[in-house]
Formats: sequence, structure tokens, C-alpha cells
Amino acid sequence: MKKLLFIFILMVSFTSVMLAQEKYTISGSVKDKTTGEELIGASIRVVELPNVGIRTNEYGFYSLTLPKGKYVIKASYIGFEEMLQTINLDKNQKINWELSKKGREIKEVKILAKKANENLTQTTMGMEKINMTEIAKLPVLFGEKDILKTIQLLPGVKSAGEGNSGFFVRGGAADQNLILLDEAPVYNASHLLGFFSTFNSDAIKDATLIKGNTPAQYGGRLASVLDVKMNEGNDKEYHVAGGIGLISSRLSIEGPIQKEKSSFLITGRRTYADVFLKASEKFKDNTLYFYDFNAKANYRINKNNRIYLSGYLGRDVLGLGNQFGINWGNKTATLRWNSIINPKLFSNTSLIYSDYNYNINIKGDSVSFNINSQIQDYNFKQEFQYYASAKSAWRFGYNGIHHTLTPNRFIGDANVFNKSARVGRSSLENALYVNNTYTVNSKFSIDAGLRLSAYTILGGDTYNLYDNGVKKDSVVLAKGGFGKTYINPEPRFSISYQLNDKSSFKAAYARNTQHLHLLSNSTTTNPTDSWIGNSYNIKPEIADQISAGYFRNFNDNSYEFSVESYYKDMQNQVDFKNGADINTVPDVESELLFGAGRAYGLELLFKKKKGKFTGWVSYTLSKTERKINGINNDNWYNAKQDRRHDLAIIGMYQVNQKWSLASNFVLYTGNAVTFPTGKYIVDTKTVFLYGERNANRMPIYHRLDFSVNYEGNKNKKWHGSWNFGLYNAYGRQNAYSIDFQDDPNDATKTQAVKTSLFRWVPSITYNFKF
Amino acid sequence: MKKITFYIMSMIALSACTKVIDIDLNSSNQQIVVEAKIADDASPCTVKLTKTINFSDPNAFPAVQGAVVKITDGTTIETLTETAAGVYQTTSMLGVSGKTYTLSIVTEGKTITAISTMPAAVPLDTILFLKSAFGNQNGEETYTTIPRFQDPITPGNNYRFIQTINDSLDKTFSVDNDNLTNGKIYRRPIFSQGPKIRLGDSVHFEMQCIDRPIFDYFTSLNSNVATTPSNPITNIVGGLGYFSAHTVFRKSVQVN
Repeated sequence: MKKLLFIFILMVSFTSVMLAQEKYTISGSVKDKTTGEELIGASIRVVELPNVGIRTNEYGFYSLTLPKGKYVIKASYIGFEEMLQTINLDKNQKINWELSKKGREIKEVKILAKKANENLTQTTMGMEKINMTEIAKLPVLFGEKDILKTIQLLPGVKSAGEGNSGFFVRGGAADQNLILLDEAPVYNASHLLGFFSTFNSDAIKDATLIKGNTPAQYGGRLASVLDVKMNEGNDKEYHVAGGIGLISSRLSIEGPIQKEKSSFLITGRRTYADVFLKASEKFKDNTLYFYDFNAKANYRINKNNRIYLSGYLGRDVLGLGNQFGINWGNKTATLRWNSIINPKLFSNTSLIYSDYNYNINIKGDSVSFNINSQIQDYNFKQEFQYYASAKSAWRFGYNGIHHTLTPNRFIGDANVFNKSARVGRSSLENALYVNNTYTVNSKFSIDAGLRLSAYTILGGDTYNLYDNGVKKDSVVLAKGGFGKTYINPEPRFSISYQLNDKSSFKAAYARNTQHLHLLSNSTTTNPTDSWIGNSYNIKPEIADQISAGYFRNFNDNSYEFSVESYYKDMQNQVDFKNGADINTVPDVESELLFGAGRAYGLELLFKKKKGKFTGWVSYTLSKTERKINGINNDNWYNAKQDRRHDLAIIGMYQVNQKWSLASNFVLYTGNAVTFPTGKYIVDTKTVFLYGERNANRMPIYHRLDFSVNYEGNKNKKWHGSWNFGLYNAYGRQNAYSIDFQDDPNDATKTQAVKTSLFRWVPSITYNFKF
Repeated sequence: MKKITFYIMSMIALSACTKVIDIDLNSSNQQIVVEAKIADDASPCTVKLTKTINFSDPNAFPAVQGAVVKITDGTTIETLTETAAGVYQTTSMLGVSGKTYTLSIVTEGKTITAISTMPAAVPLDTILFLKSAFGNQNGEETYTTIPRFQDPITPGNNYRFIQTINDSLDKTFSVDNDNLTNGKIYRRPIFSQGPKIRLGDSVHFEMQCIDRPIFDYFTSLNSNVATTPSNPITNIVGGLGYFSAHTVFRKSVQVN
């Protein structure tokens, strides 16, 4: 801690020394000329000073402070024509840029939307920006393009299962990913039990994944941050876009409310598998669908102030006859106010609401009941970005969240059931943070930050203390009272050293803590997994990650190669005990066990970024283990997401202006599972004997997918495109699960049965825009 | 949940398929499995001893013969006699509610022990049958059994239900407790994996009042379906299986 403080002081003093010269600031925004959308991460550079430059922030704002003088300033963004402007910097200046999309003759597919050698120069490690136009081209299951499935093709990111949108980052569990949609946490990012994500690509502007070494403005999860930003809506003209696919259809409308002052965007999506179900005699009484809406509006109050309002609403509905029904979904709303206080100081204030809940209904002649659970957040964020000098940028702020978590509760007819003892619990999650990005010289840069998180249990419930599931004591907290507060300093640090203009070396350390925990005892992710906060038993999860990497570009930045390795230590991991009773025990905390985790790995990435043929190869070698007191005789065991090898090969080929092809191949070691080591008989039924936990492996998984894209004439008013896909092209029967049972045809034998889900799944999608 | 997932997948993809596969499994040392019960119905205490076998072996579970099996209720001790290969029974001791029984088994140089307490008896009132929500896919109507009885005011009652449909035993391990229904009239359906119950079938129903460790045993045995599997929490020290001292209430009904 002392060291960190010292570094901060050092940086601040550097900054002030340089302020002694006569300096002025240029600031403003970078936008897309045709749509008026702010460009995130656009580059502003000084031609005369090759090492000086800045990227626009998440609201398209930039600020650059330079000594007095004459400069040529260049604004650029991948896929857009760059712009140059000569300025005579003798006072603070405001320059707003409007870049135009590149013409059709330069038909290049670029993999990542960033400057050519940014992978070498940016300090943050393990960060990937996801290109939305590229996602549209890659083959996916049922042709539903999906950012959560695309990130699974990156090194260090593993799929939660066949066709699943759930993911694991560097040995973290699925709940250790912070998924943000316009700053609002999304607690369950999947539809239809994970086969689709909640992100409708039509509404998404930008997505960034950070694997563990997160800057200080992010917090609350151990493994990663996936920061998704919605489109603002075209503020110049109206457009309608949509798509018709096998599973769902999408429609979006955007346009100005007042031209160049305010705009809106509304997108919707709904599946129609239930229409086919109705046609089938066997399934006609069943319902199965999901829908989601994204809406956003923004208003420019004046040249320095702008407000945004965005929201998401999604729901899955599943019913079997009229006797069983389950529905679940997220709601988020974000109100933001951007303010340019002065050319160097940018402020963002957000008020955020998030809600996730599920409800299971069982209706019978004699008993009816439902099981439900909810997590609800009110969230306030205040952040300042201070561009102190061309070398130093600060980001600092406060984030306070009021959580209300209602554990899964069994509610039934009062004649049959007692009132559930479980009530909603409230808590406050507060954080203060400061982060500084400092360029020491042309080769060396530092990014250092500190986040101080405090989690306070609020009154209104009785908290029990358990020792091995046996109640030892309890704490009664009156409504309005305050309980225990967990305070955790979370230092983060990363350095980048440019060895030459083609290669760089980076290293990073970060501590993250997590105060909300997803209780899941199943082998897959379920909508009915419920969230629980810290308590007197459950302590904040803590992860310390160190990582180091070497980055090398070849052939004028056409090829990128990187190797990163990491080691992560995790404390206070939460798991259910064997045979836990989740629904009926009065207090689910009696069913929990605690322990540690560790993960380490090596990630290789090779990319071809330019030309007609582009793509990447990603390979991860890793190990993830858990040690939970009360499981596997308290010994280390493989976590279920532990996989030795993960390989993804992605290729895209632009045949001509109209046609393009894409293909991906994935191969990975099977998940760690527990298979029987023997069998015995209990009351005439065969039951299985198990040995060490997760000592077995599912079979190797591999799959090849293809897609063909056809783009209609872009110059016409109506622009249509087709996407044809084939998932699992060679029809491998990958194992979704392996079950053990008595042979139904021969009672003297037992057998292993493999279930496979998708073979040769073709898809066709038509997209349009006018 | 896994079942539901699979159901959904077959609905939307219609391409899910299952296949019997050969799989190489680890083997383990043979362990002794105890199935021991003492009830309040004047039947003898019966202890069945078998051994575990490897997964690929045929389902012939070797009996453990020649063991010394003793039971005590704290005052008297009785040595059980082997009435069939691996089956040991008492001749005089009878189960009584409220008593705690200790079982000890000595065989092959090993000692296995277990303790179980017989809870107070709760009488079964009636058996109802409800048309099943899930079973009528082929237009065929099947039924679910609902036992109905008054749960006592004091919390902590645990139950086990065993049903036999037209002489074929339902092998589902069906247990429940009064966490949600304490002091109420119990009437929750038995979620069975078969055999199917149709109109006109005769159902023999047995309700047991069991102690908490037996509830935990069968609950953890059942939870291996969609979770990472593990051996159930057992009250047998030094072996596998369970020892249950329970009360019994039986009823035979015809579905009409």
C-alpha cells in the first residue's frame, strides 16, 4: 500500500512539473458523419509528436494538452477515412470531428477496431475490443449472431457448454464475470437456458472484454469485465433495420428527435419456436419463447452537456401444459449525464437500475405453489476523467449500489405450506477508486489504480453463523440497522515497455473482490441459480492475478502475435455441500461450503488483420483447481471448467464486394467430470460409487462451422444481406452429457449413455436496412 | 432441470440424440454395502450385506456371508442370524418408537457401525390420485399418488414413501420433510420415475417416519442427477448404505 501511494505521489508531482510550461488543451468529440454515433476508442494523434496521442473515451470525448505551438492533428478510426487538421495552439480549443466511412474500393475486413499497433502500446493487459461487424459474419448456432459466443473464440475464454452463451474466463466461474449493458449489471445474460445471449447485436455499439487485470473503475467480480455499450441512435436521419432468421426476428428503428440534438433507438427481438410447437400435436400445449427490447434516447442540452436514457427488458417464458411454467428475465435502466466541465475535465453521472428475477409456477388440482427469487439494484455512479497532460490521464470516482436479494423462496397455498422463512436481504456496496495512466517516455507507460470497496450488510433479517452446517450463533439485525462491513483495498497495476516498434512487453497485477455470489449446484448454468450477498458466513471472494505478456507485430502490423501467461489465486470461494437441500431449508447458508481456488495458464494468439483473408488462431493451455473444505476430502480437485487445451481457428475471406465466407474450428479437452468407479445395490436399485471429484474427462470436443454472407447493393435505399450458416459441418456427435444407468433391455447390465445435441444445424438469416 | 433442458432442446432442435457408448472407467476397491432396517411393525430387524463391483461387471452383487452382526437398543444386545446368503435377521428384538439403535458388523477384519433413532409414528390418512401433468403425451392418462396426513406441530418430521404398483416396486427413492409444511395437512405429490399408474391399478403404499440422517441419505443420493455426483451422506461408519429405524404405515388402494 505504501509503495502504491508513493507511486501516486510521484506521478502527481511529475504532472505538476510539466504544467509549469505554457500549455493549452484541445478537446472535443469524434463522431460517425453519417449516423452521428460517437466513436469509442478513436485515435487523436499529433503528426509532429509521434508518441503523443489519446483515444476517445466511452462517450467519444477526448482531451489532449500540448505545449503552445503549431501542429497537425490526425483523427482516425478503423474503417473510417482519417482526417487532418492544422491548428495554431495558442489557446484552449474545441475540435469536434466527423469521420466518414471508407469507400467501397478499400474493402478490407479488420479484426479489431483499434489503431494498427495498439496491441503493443496500450498498457492494460488481457483486453479485447470486439468488432461488431465481424460478429455478423461468423457462423453461429441457428444463425443468431451473438457477442457472448464470439468472445468464446478468444484465448482464455471458455464456453460453458455446447451452444451455450455462458463463459468462463481464466478459471473463473460463470458468476465471476461482470457483464455490463450501458453500465447496468446484467445478472443472467442468457436466454433459453443459455443457448442465446441477452444481447441483441442490432442494439450494440461496442463491447470490450477485460480478463482480470481490470482498471480501477470496474469492480465487484473476480474474473472479467464485459462492458457492452448500446448504440445511441442516428441523430441525422431515420432508419429501420431488421432481420428474419430461423429462430427469431429482429426489428430496430432509429432516428433524430430533434436533428443533431437528440436521437432515439428502439430494437426488439422475439423467437417463434412456439409457433412450430403449436403445429405439433405432441407439444401443442407447451409454450417456449423469449423476447427482448432495447431502447435508448439522448439529448444534447448544450455543447458541454448531454443526457442519455437507456433501458433493456427481456423475458423467457416456458410452459408445459398449464401445470408447469417458468419465466425469467432482466430489466435494466440507465440515466446518464455527461458533462464537459472544462477542456481537461470530463464528468459522467449515472443512475442505474437492474433487476433479475425468475418465477416457477406449479399448478395442480391438489397443490399449487411457486418458487421465485429476485435481485434488484439501485446504483449511483459519479466519475471524473481528468486529462492532466499529454502524458497523464486520471480517472476517479464513486460507485454506490443498494442491493436487495431475495433468495429462492417456496410460496404456496397457506393451507398446505408454511410461510417461507426466507426474506429479501439488503446491502450496500460502495467503492471509491482512482486510476492513472502515465506515459513515462516513448517506451514505458504505467497504469496504476486503487479501488476501495466496502460491503455493508443492512438490517431486516437474522443472520446465522454456521460451523459445518451446524448453527452456532445468530445475529439479529433490525430493519434500518447496519450490520458487518467488509472493507477491501484492491490495488491494480500494469506496465508496458516497448522493446522496439514491433514488439513490447507487459506485466500486470490486480486484486479483485466479489461480494455477490451465484449459488449453483448444477453442472450447467440455470436460470434458477440464485444470487446471495456476503453475510456473517460468506466472506468477500478475493482474487489476486499476476500476468505477463510479449506482443509482436509483423509485416507492417498486418500480423499480430501475443503470448500471455497468468497465475490467479482465489480466496473465499463458495460452493454447495454434497446433496445440498436448496429449496426447503429455512436458511440456504447452512448448505454452503467455503474454500480456495487457483488457476494458471498460457494464452497464444496469432492474427492476420489485413487483406482479403483475415482471421486468427487462439490457443490456451491452462489448469483450474478448487479446494473446498468438505469436498473431495479437503484435497485440491479439478474445477468443472478446467480444460487443458483450447484451440480456436477463425478464417474470413472476402471474395468480392458482395460475397464473403467465414469458418471457425474449435477443439478442446473435455470438461472435468466425475464418473462412477463402481456400483452397488440399495433397495433393489443400482447406485453408483464415486471416487475422487472431477477426476474424469468428457471426450474431446471439436466442431467446424461455415457461413456465407451476401451483401446487397449498399448504395440503394433498401439494403439487404443474407447469411447462410452450417453449424457442426461434419456432424460430430459431441457429448453434451454422459449418464450411467441400468440397461433397459438387460437388467443384469449397466450402460453409459451419451447425449449429443446439435449435428449439422443449418441456418439462414435475412437482414435489411432502409 | 437437466430433464427440462433436454426437453427444450428436443423441442427446438429435434436433433438431440442419445447413444450407448463404451467408456473406460477407473475401478475401486471393493467396499461393504449395508441395507439395514428396523421398524415398529413387529417384523424382524433385517441387515443385508453386499459388496461393490466394477461398473463393467454384470449386476451380480456378491453377498457378504459369515459376518457377526449385532444390534442394541441400549439395554439389550442381540446377535442376528444369517437367514439367507448375506441376509441377517433378529429373532426377538422389535422396533419401538423413540429408541436409539446401534448396529455393529464385524467381517473380514473390519468393524462397521451405525446409529439410528426411530421417530414417533405419524399415521397416514388417505391416498389420493391426481391426473399427471407430464405423463399424458400419447393421449394416455397416468396418475400421481398424493399421500394425505396431518403433520405434527413439532418441526423436524421426515418421511419416506414406497409404492408398489400391481406388484411391481417403484424404485424411486421418495423422501420429504416438513420444512415447508410443518403442522399442516401434508398432501404433496410423489414424483415417481415409474412404473406408470393407470386407472384400475392397485397401489400398495407404505409411509415411513425416518430420522434426519436417512432423509439426508436419500436426498443426497437423489441429488446426483444434474449436479456433480458424489457418494451420499451415510450414517454407516466404515461402509456404504444406510441403517434406518423407522415407523411404518401401509395402505392398499385401487385407482378409480
